[in-house]
Amino acid sequence: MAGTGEMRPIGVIIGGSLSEGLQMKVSDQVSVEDLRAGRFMVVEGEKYRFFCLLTDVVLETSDRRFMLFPPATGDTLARQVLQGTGAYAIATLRPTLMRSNGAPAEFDAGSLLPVKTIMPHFCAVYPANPDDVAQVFGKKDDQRFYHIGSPLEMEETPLCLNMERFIERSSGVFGKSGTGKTFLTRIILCGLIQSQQISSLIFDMHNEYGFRGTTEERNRSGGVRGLKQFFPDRVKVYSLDPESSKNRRVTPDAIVRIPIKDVTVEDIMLLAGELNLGGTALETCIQLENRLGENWLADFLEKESDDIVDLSRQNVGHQGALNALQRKLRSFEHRCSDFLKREVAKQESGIIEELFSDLNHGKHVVLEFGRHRDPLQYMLVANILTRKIHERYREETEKAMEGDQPGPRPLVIVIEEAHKFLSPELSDQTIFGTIAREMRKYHVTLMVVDQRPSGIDDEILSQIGTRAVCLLDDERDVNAVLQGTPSSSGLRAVLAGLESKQQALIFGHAMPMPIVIRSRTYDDENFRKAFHLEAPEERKQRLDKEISSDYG
Amino acid sequence: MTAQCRLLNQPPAFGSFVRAEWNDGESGRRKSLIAIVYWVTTTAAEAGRRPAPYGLTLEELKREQPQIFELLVTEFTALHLGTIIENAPGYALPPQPPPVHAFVYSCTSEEVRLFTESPRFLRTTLQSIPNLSSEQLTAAAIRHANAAHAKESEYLVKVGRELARQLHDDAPRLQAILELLTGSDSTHFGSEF
Repeated sequence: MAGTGEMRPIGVIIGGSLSEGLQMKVSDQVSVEDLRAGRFMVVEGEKYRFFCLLTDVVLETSDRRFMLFPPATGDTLARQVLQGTGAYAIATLRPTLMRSNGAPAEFDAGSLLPVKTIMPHFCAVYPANPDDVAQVFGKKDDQRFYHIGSPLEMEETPLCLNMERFIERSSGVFGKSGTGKTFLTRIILCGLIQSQQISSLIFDMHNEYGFRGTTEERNRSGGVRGLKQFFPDRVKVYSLDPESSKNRRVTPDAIVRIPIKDVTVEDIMLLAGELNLGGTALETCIQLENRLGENWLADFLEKESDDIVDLSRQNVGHQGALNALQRKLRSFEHRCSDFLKREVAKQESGIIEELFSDLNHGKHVVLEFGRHRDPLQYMLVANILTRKIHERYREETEKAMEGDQPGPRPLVIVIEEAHKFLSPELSDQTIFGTIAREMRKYHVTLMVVDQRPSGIDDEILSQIGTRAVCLLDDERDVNAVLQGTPSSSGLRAVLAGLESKQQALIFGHAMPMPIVIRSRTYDDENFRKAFHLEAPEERKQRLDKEISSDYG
Repeated sequence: MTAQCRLLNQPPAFGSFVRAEWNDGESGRRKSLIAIVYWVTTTAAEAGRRPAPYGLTLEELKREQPQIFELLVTEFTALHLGTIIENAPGYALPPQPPPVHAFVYSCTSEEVRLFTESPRFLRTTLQSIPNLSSEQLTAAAIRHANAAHAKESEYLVKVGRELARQLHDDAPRLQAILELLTGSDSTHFGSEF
């Protein structure tokens, strides 16, 4: 087999089963400390090459008495003698794919077969080589694939994400905070933008994607470049807070203002938790909408106390309840007053059309929230805009279906703090739940970025095709992300073994097999080179050179 | 095989390697057998007689009763391990034992190195022999072998690993041998090894 000739086996298969995984006796030449959960391994069978993931390592002894009377701490001879003989390690490998030995060397999705059998005893196990990675995950010079990182312990080998498949389904990036979710998302977004097959709408709660992102690395005080700097022609930044943009000395492409008449009862329901509204209050809202029509919220907020009494006489609700509701909604309006307007200027009113047009023309839109980072504000705006955009997409798709034409350009909507929109109580009501469920029918998919996947409705989670999971601590979160995946017990160990930075377990629709990656470093020199972006120093040098050659 | 020593009370060391050599009567080929010393005894040369204690020290006896030493012989018994034929060690036993009166030599360091290069010789030393601790014999054999491999720092580990394979289900025996090879027991005999 290509490349394994010079490699030494790290063990041999000594047992195992299809359902429980394979048992490999670790070679005494290999330190057990080098075997990390999640490592990509290959077993050379007689007819097939089996691609496996290391999920567990166990220390064993040939005689129980070695454990009862272990060699003394300083007894190096006994330790050296026993290592790999009387005391040895067994690694559990989870076979995930197999490939016929006769298959051509190039990447071919058809040659990757699900594992339906296992190899005989004593087959040698090797760490995967770069050819194996390319055969399973594709090559980075192929347009369909996007270099996202490298497998564990194979720093130099690019590991690719199949972008065509990635955008076919909704996707999720999970991990507790500080594990590199945002960086990974940025890297994936760069791939999406580069692939030119889809548009994206990014609800950027913390102003991290558009112009300049933050980093926790101390020596990079200036932060990292945003998507706009990598793709100035293809990325548009919309802002909800022009003031904040001005402070950061950036110019957004559009300012977003939301007419208060666009706020529906559905939005209020979504915010019920944040606004501390009970079930009765929500029913009252429905009554109000029925009674007052499209502009119900503005009308209701303007009502004087006499009008409230009128309303209560008309059985809309109890007077006290109406007063309380009005107080809460007024406070809500106040909290959102920077962008939620009773009157919206004409040039700002066509924002949905502008957004739709940008998206349909292949642009990627980052909506910056500026200082409006309150979950209430974020949820309100994301929900309203997404609903409107989804409506437009639906219209266009239906129109296209009638006319037998291709529909609008596929769109992926990126939301952070997704559990707030997709919790079991809310997922039936918000537009995000609908999008996640109806899949690609209307060419809109979701990319959820979240640190609390256990807060997301199971049904929605099951619709998420490709999942990239950084380190998660909470048992419930781990259960949630692994739900519905085969061999989740093995993956659980892998997930627990992730490092807290730059590592992620990726599995699902776009990945032929689950794999742990070390993600690329966003905005380092190689990354910029890959996206044809010059470093400031290089740019200066080039300009200096040009100037001196022109004028020198 | 059992051999009589040339000099009284000067047997080869316990666990040392010896070589018997003879000419095969039929083929005329030179034959040799490698064995390891495990039993040494000094008895009366004549069968049926027993040495009786005189209550004197060795020095006094040599002075007063020198003739009695002529009546004693030192013999040793060695366990057959294999052969060295044309500089190639073999671990299968030869079809015939050495004939009576064949000469037995102590192996040279080079012969020991050659024969113990592969730790396979341990398989025979680990077998049980009545009234003998096979752990002691194996440890002594390894000490001799290790001395012949003085230039290889990893030799002891290599042999130890073979031992661990042989004794995979008998931790106490393995540990007993390893203990004899390390710590104070290994240096007890000074420069002899």
